[in-house]
Amino acid sequence: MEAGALLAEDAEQLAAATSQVLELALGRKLAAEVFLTASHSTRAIVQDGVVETFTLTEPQGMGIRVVDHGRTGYSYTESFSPDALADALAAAAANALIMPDAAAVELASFAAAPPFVESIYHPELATIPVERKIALALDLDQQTHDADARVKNVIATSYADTSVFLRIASTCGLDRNYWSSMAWLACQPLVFWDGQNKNYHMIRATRRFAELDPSYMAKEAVRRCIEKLGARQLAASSYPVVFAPEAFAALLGAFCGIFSAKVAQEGKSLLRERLGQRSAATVFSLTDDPLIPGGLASRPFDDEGCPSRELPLIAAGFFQNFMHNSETARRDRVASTGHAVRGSYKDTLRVGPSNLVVQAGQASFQDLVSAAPQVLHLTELTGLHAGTNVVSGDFSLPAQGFLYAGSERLPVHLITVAGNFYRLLESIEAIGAQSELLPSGIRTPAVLVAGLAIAGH
Amino acid sequence: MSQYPQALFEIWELPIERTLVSEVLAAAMSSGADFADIFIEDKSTSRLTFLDGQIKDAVSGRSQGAGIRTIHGRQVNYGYTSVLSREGLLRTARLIAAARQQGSVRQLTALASITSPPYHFCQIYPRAVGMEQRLALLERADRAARKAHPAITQVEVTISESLQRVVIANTAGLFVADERPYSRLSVLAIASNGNEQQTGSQSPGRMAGFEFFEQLAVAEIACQAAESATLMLRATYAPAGRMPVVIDKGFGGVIFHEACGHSLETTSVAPRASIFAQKLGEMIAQPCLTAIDDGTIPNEWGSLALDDEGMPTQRTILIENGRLVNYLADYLGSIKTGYPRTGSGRRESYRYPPASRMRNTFIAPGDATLEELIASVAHGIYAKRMGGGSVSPGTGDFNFSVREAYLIRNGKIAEPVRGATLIGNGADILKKISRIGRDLELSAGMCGSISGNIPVNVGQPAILVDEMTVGGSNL
Repeated sequence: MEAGALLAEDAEQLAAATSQVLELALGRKLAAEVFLTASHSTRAIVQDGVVETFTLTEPQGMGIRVVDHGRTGYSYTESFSPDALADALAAAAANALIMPDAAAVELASFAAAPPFVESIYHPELATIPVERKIALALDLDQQTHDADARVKNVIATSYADTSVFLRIASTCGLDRNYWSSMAWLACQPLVFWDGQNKNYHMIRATRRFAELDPSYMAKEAVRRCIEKLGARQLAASSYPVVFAPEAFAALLGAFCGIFSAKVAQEGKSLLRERLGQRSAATVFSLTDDPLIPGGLASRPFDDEGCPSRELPLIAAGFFQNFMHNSETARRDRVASTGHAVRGSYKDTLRVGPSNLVVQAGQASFQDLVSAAPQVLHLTELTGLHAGTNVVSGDFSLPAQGFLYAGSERLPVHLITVAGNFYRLLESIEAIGAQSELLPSGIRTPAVLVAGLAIAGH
Repeated sequence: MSQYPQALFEIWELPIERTLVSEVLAAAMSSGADFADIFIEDKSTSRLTFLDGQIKDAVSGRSQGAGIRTIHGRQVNYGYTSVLSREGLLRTARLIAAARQQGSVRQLTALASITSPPYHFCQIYPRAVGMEQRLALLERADRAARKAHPAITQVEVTISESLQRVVIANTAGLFVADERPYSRLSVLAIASNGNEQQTGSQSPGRMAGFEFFEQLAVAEIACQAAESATLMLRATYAPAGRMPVVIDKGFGGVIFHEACGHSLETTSVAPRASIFAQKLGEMIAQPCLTAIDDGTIPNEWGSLALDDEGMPTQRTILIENGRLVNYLADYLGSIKTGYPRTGSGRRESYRYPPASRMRNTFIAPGDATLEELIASVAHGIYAKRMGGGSVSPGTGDFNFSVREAYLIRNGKIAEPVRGATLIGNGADILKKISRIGRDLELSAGMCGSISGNIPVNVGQPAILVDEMTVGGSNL
């Protein structure tokens, strides 16, 4: 496989496809935008010392947004043949025709140059021989098996990487592109002891291949399983809860839609009328920072081409800003904050965060878990796609963790934690001093929340 | 199987000349493998979203590509391309052949003439329907939901349609085609009282063309979503703790899908990552429970004429009167475990290698009425509408969410309570399903797993679970 950037003939083909669509649009007097991604991806899945599945793929696709007399239509195509491109433009134009007149949308051209974001692309990722990548997964599998005699099985050990080229070009003169790359390593040991099965899904994401450390991951993954052995179910009761960074990031990731102006304008966020008001405890501050060097969700510009910048969402408990794309910004008569997100070329324009950062506090871990005679430290939350309701803010989620009672630390399982995210933000009591960076790009310390309902037996 | 008229294939615009497909398979096998297959796909989709009483988003698109797989022993090489030309296909085949050496070069069996089974026919193709018909449908749903109650502040209605055409060939000489139309309506209603807002939703779907929407009781479905949202606004929070649960028919089947179904896929069974591995022939549930995974029901959301490896789908009995009798196996899963293939090889698109997956999975009807089930519970909850769930097959711990529930007090349905997550362990919970109702109903959902998001039905009659942990917040 060719190194680094695209094969010359592929790059030429992508450029020609973009030009063809924009020229066709100009010929029909349509404003149009091309959102194009082309990637190289590798993935190896290992089981019992054997590379079971190896995939080498080059996904590509183009999303077309047409604005005709203030009305927007979308389409996409994965084939870049001249016929497919012409069909896709025609489909987007036809979709625009059925939109209501009132929208009065325009394509924005964002005159300001986007900033340079350091370390989001490492071209060497594509030149590292496949054998070295596979060796990393095999090594992780072996070390995880060997880490402890109680390891019964290791599943889903995998290495994956992707290098993505993204280009946004429009008939309004906008034309921007950037490359980014990412590598992942994961494993899931299953330990068995005294009639109990415990597992932990360990995943590390990085921009730099060299940062993937199978030795650390194997030890840590197995340690996380073993410390859960002997877990019991708690009686249903209310407990102060310390969310570990991993757990708080999962919750924040599920509910960050409440900060989206699109969600608010659609009547789905209770923050709609609360700009400038107290919406969280004063110890809580949250920003979105797209410019973190090497950040896992960093980006020089958003999915409309709007230059990225840091945006405070909550400062000392006060709700500061919604995240906007150009459409929601026009409707609220403000400027876009650079938070347009497409998800993929198949999706329509939405709003979404980059790297969400919870400001670190003062508390040591010991302070947090000794804040009350009994404190529940929740390390893992699951089922977030089903157990959270962004519109109401309600959540009820399976959880695992440890009950701290005096000098005792008891593993607990088969419990749920339930509450409302809006009220949770208001009942944050303390924030840890030590932040962790999660694979989602969220950076957060542990967070102590006053009484939440725990269901068990 | 019947031979297709060549003209129909020409309309598909897929590169399916027999000689080219043979050449691509040979190129994939050129550095040695036991087996190779190719999955060529052309899928058109369209989605219309109606919000604030008007069209909010209109998007349509076309995915085209081919996925090529080689298998040597239990090792798979996989690659795909969106360039459906001779050059594009051969380049991908050579790329995966060059990626890893896989043993000696095998003799290929010549491809048969292309055939197709009688598939789940589409009566009205999406292209044949004008936009005004869709708009009328969206407006009808929106109006009905808004009229249902003054507390309804927002309604979002979505029509999703797709038409997937596939050609599948392999080095054992298989050369087949299938067509899968999908139609789905989703209604989300939001009720608000100023301080709080609650949601209700309905999303029926079928493997069918536009006729699905014409036969659908659109206003009734929209009203159900609105009534559920309104009811939840005045409901208190669900209780917390272990108690008996009556789970209603239809999407209630998500409990079996999560607690057991995923753990019966050879994807989990082969690496011994399933609590039900090596349990074939054992009693894993009470004798009242029979569970089936059926890909053959005409036009159901999770049905297929052929699976994504070209094998005709089957009706597979998983659990018969409490005894585990079958797993769900794809081609590779069958090689790894020795269990027979069940026509369960599925994938979201050409971008995923296939894996063993569920189709229409349901608990077979028993003899109780819903009233009888409720009457047998002194204190517990009646879970009426369910959301999604998940499972960790290694431990069997699973969860699913209840969107609308009621307390059961002294054998009678009492006040409504808000949603909560229900959790349990698969091995344990199957033995606690003690009574099964008589009215089976299937319900459409999307299932996400290793080979992507695919349409599946879950289903059951109402069931009684003797004890489950209800994750409410009312202590």
